[in-house]
Amino acid sequence: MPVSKNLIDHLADLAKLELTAEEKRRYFKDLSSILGYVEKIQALGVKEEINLIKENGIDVWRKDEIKDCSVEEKEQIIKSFPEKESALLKVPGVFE
Amino acid sequence: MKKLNIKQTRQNLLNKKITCQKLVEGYLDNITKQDGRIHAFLEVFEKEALAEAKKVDEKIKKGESMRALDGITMALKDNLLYEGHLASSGSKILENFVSPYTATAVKKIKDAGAIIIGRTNMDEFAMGSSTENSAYGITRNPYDLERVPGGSSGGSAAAVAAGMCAAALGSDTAGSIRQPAAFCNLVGLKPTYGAVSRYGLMAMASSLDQIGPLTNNVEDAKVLFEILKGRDEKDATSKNFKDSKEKVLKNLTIGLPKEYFAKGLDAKVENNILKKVELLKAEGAKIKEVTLPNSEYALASYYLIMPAEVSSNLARFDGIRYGHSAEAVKDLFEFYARSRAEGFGSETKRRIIIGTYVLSAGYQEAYYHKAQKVKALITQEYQEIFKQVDVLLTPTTPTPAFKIGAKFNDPLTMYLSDIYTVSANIAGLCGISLPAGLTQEFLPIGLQLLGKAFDEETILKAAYQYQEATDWHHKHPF
Repeated sequence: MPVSKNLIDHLADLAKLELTAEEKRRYFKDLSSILGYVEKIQALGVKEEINLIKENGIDVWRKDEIKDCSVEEKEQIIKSFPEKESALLKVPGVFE
Repeated sequence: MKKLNIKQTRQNLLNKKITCQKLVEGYLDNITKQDGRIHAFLEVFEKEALAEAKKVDEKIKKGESMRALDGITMALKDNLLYEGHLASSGSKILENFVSPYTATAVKKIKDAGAIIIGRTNMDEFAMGSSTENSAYGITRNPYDLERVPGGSSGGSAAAVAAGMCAAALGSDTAGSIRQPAAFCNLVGLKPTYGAVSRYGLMAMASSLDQIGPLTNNVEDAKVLFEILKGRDEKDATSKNFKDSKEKVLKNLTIGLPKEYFAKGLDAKVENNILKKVELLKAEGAKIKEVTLPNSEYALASYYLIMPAEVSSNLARFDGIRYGHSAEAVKDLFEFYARSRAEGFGSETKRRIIIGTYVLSAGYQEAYYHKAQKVKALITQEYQEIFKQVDVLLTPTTPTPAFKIGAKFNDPLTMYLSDIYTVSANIAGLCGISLPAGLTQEFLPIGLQLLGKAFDEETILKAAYQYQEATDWHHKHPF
């Protein structure tokens, strides 16, 4: 799978991550060498019918219900808001 | 001087040979003397630890009943939430983040009486094998200050090895408990995926992460595992399980997978481990050479599954609800992109980029899904082997601790540090690293035992019998 420099720009956009020119150059190089290594799994034949959910053995259900948290927990979460107005989270504008 | 285990320390407290205050002061003293150069701790909870110690001494004075960990001083890896305390995961993006609640594993050891003495340094979001990827500086190996303590639970390992606490919690996604334990002459247990609740552990690769203890000896690993294990409704992947009927060493068949004794293994490590095999044979264990041909694909599948999950898990760091926020930005996209750029370190960004690639349109089937299928195949192969043997014995790492900076600029070489530990995570096994002696340069070597899923009982029992026949776990770094 060829890795082009434009691809790094595209990935950075998808990942919502600003990268410097130097970082782009470095990650381009690293992505190529790491993909070169992980490509080896393509050599291993796997049966298509492996059921991943069954393999992972996870089948746990619970009721979808609201559980309250403690006052302290709420206060701490609100305290962590980078920007707020009283107890409300302030977010940057989505539309112009 | 022989190191005391948790049980002996409790006995000394109960018999009033030492007060808990003196004990905690001793650890704090060691931190003052040693941690300036080692840097195992990001924060020391000195006042709290002393206040807790006072309570324990009162309890003993009054003759009240003692819990399993009363008076036992422990440190927490910085990716474990502990209500009201900072938890940064070694990242700048969480520099001022205060935990609003406590992780189940932390709650369990607290409920058993543990005194939490501080939070320890780690590779950012547990991504690394050397603790060089922390936003808060590197941690040094107490056995050789020019070398790394391993990672990503390097701070926890260094803290226990340097006598700055009795035991510590770490997390292991590909070897992050066992590899630092090997580099610092400790016992490090990676429980089976699902054996310990991950609630309140900052997620790196959710399908592989597990919390476990780093301790001075096998007895302590067992004591802590008994406390940590079990179903937690807050982690849907956690479960209760029955202890297997443990076998004594002389009825045990130990498998030596030939793929773990191949190219890339340091000769000093190989000779050391093979001598231990002889020792176990002399103790009565049956040794059987086995082969796991698909195990060589474990690391490659890991480096697809892990970054994919990292890029998803770390998407939550958007600068809006908590963590670092960029200032003076022109729009929402720039706000996200710059907050993340300023908050994440270089290795974290690298893995987010790889993970985004692996999950992006057109590549998801070829990479992520294929890697999951390879994982299933490797799991089956280990399950088959465990029909022939009770445990597998391998070196924990291909080399002893490496020099600081030696692998820092070469990610692929750094990733290969996990080659012997990663299979346990990929195949959902349990594993333990044990002290196996020191090289001529005074560098610890680790021996790994792998057990089948939820069979911690067998590897702990075998590990204990191995330890009984050796005394490397009593070695001190200074």
